[in-house]
Amino acid sequence: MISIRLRAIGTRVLQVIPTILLATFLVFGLMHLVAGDPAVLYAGENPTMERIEQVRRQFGLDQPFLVQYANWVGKVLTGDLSVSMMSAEPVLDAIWRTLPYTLLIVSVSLCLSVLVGVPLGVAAATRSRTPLDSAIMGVSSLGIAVPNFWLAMLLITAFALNCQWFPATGAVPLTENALSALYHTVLPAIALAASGTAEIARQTRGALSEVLASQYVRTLQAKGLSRARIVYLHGLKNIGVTLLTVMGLLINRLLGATVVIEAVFAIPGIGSLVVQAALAKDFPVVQGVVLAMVVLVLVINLVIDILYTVIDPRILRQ
Amino acid sequence: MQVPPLLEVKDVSVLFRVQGSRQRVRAVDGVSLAVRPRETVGIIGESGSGKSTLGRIMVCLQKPTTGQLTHEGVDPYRLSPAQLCRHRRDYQMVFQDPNASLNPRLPVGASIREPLDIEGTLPRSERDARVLELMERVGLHRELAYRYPHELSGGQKQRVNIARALTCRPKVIVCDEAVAALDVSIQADVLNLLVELQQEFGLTYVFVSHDLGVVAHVSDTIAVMYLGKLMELGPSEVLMNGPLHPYTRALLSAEPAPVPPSMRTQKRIILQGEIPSPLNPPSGCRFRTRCPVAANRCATEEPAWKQHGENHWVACHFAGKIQGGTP
Amino acid sequence: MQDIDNQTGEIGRHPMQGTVVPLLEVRNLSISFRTANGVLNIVPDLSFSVGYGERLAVVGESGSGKTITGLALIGLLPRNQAVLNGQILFEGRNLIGLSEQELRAFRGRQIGMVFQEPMSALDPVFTIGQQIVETIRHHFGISARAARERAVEMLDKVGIPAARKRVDEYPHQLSGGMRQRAMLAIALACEPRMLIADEPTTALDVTIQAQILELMVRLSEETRTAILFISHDLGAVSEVCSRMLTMYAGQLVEDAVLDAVLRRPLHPYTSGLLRSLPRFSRKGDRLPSIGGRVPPPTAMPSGCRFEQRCVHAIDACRNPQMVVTLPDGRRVCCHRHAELHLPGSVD
Repeated sequence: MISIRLRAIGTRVLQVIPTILLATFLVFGLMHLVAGDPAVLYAGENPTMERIEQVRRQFGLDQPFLVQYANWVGKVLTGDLSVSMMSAEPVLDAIWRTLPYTLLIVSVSLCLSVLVGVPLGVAAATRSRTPLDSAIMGVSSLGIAVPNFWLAMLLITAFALNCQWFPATGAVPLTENALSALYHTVLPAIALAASGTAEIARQTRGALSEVLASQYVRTLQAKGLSRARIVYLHGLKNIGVTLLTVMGLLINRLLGATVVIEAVFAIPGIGSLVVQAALAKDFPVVQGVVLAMVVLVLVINLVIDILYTVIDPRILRQ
Repeated sequence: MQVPPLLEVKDVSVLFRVQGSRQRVRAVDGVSLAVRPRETVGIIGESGSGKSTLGRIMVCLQKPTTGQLTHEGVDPYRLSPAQLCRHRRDYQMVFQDPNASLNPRLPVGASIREPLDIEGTLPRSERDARVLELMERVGLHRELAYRYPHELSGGQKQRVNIARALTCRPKVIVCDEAVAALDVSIQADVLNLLVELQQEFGLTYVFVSHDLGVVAHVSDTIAVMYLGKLMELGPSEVLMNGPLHPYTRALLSAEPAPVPPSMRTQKRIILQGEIPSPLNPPSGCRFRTRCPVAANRCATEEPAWKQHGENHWVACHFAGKIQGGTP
Repeated sequence: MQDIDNQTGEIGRHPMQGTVVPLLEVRNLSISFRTANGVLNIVPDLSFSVGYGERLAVVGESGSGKTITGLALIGLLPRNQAVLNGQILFEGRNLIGLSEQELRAFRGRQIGMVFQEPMSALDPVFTIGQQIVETIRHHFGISARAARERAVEMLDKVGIPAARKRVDEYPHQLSGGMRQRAMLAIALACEPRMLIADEPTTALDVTIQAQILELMVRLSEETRTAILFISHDLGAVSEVCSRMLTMYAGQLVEDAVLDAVLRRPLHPYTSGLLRSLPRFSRKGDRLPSIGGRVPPPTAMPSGCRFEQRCVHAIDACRNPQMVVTLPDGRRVCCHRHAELHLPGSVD
């Protein structure tokens, strides 16, 4: 007898597959639409007509669209994302090389947002309508409004150039030297985290205020439980779904925003990779990276959906 | 010589699909009921009985899946949309929650005037006069017309709802738990008002409620529902004094009464178990799982709807064979 | 059937009669709220007592102050808004003036509380077993396993079938009646001396209500737990309680043994309330009703608060009224009680 939860998870996993397929189709199609005639791109500088035709045949670009797509999908499934036109490096290798830096920044940023945002939101909700509440909400508005690259440059100027507490640029692989890697991640993560923290603080405050006004909080008080337990154990679990949703959206956004931050801090992450490739019209790299990111986002959202069922039992009810 | 019914449902059923699954619920299952002009029919039941759904069917807020609804012999669903729109004015409803029924952004006078605005036949200049007249009739001060719902008490809001239901001079008003949310003393006032209005305007009421005392007070005829089916139907006095169905007797007995302990004579019938889920009603007689006199026959054979007296109908194998009268 | 002799005969008599010390004694309780317009007094001066194992009803309509009183007893009114004066003596100890932490030792342990609307009164993301275990482990530091056993035991005691299985279910998986039983299990898990029940059956179906009322009486008798039954439903309290307090606009208007007050109420409000129940009337009979409304807290008269709506009012009623204690222990706040013969719920 398979439990309802397992069945729900299984269904959700199965649902992801067609979504990924659709995503690949869109990525492939979009690149072809956007890039113009790929044969021209591949043919290099000032190509002749024969050269273009040669490239076309070489890369199978004279085949019907769907055939090209099918071939491409076939290759992707075996791990062959083609090679960079610039460096001839296999795209997959380039992705493996750069993704860890990005993931590190995004993870640290997310942790920061949650670790700072949730307590702020809790403080605002439990002391609602006091000056503290207004202050927190005011600062959070600021956090959302401030552009992250501006904040990044501000941080660099203040903490890297003036005080020299943190490095201004560069990154160190986590595997090489964990402490140094984290050290390099601090400023970029903070720059990225500002708006996320603000959003989480707001959402926490909103959802928690509502929960604290519910009937069942009175029952919990009548049981003699401490305020801390009511707010942190019962309150947070009840807003878990809201928080997870916000975190999911935040991760999606961070993965996109990382492009700018990597540029400012000169971090060799996947954002930098794709920007350079786009500027150089390195078609296969861009296509590969976009595909990888789409799959990553879909998988993350799947994990979040699964976590929903763990946090809130009502999700599973029929 | 029987007066033809003003409103009649014949063997109506409503099937709801449960969200996210293939299961279906028969909220109302094969109910037949007739309401005569100027009569009050009370419909009693607990959760899952389908009484609210039946009330909504009667005013065309819910289309029956099978069976027939007739208003003065006419099937309203055969009318054109425009005709149906006009027809609805004669069949109004007052809902349980006085808050939820009123637009919080409109002054209550405007809410009462809205049906007139929609109908459009009465000249604009006369509409406000009609509103104020109605407000006085339901016992509200004229000046309250400019107030917003949140400034009024529960009883006052419910009177506004009643006034609004009366605006287009309907023939039938279905009250769906209309006094359930009110304090006892306000409830009495509103009930008195409803009875007065019935006499003055020649209204016909269908009164849906879970509260036996209230229903017995206002109704001429009472219908008892359980899990979508009718259990008993008969004149109010007969049902209150000599109910034949075990469920009716249990309901009467379960109704808590402020009778001094020293004067209690009858032992209370307290039903065991929970009300079964409407998704999976018991076979045969639906009430058998909680019935104190259930027998084997009750599981296999659904009781027929039989007449036991003048206008008194019961669906029970043992109706009339159980001893005892009033609780 | 209720065993009334057990109830009125021994404990729970008015302290002035000099018998046993009551479980709960409220003396001159005053409840006020700080609002934008100043301090608003809702309950001016309330005194009553509850004996061990006694079941006392507090009856009134909206605006009577009964729910606020119930919350005030265990200090659940918001601290920064509510101002309490007077004494709430629970087993001799004054609960007013205790710190939040000290009060928590009473809540759930000495005094349990159940609320209306079991649908929304239980935390939806924890199982009912977890919620019972939580309160047990909070007050007694026993092991998780022992607490769980006790939780199953409690669910069984409140009449939930297949308790061992249901202990791991979530509130949304239970019906209304089951949830209310679960609430009772939570409230009684630590064997409190008193249970405050605020409209516990109002949201339930009538046949389920009957079950829950019977359950409450049974549990109270078995464990000698006193019940303070707050409700507007006179019928429901009659099934459970032996004594009744009537409140109107924040004041106590009558305090008497149930049998006596139902037969012959001494206060016009109690009488009006009993008469306006549509139980004994036929269609066409006008239900006797009490006209008018409860005065708003900002415009409370200094004399009898019921005077504006009372058919028996005379000029003297505009003077401030006192609660009078009669020789048989009954209390009433009406100076005309001796001369009025008011009808009760019996014809």
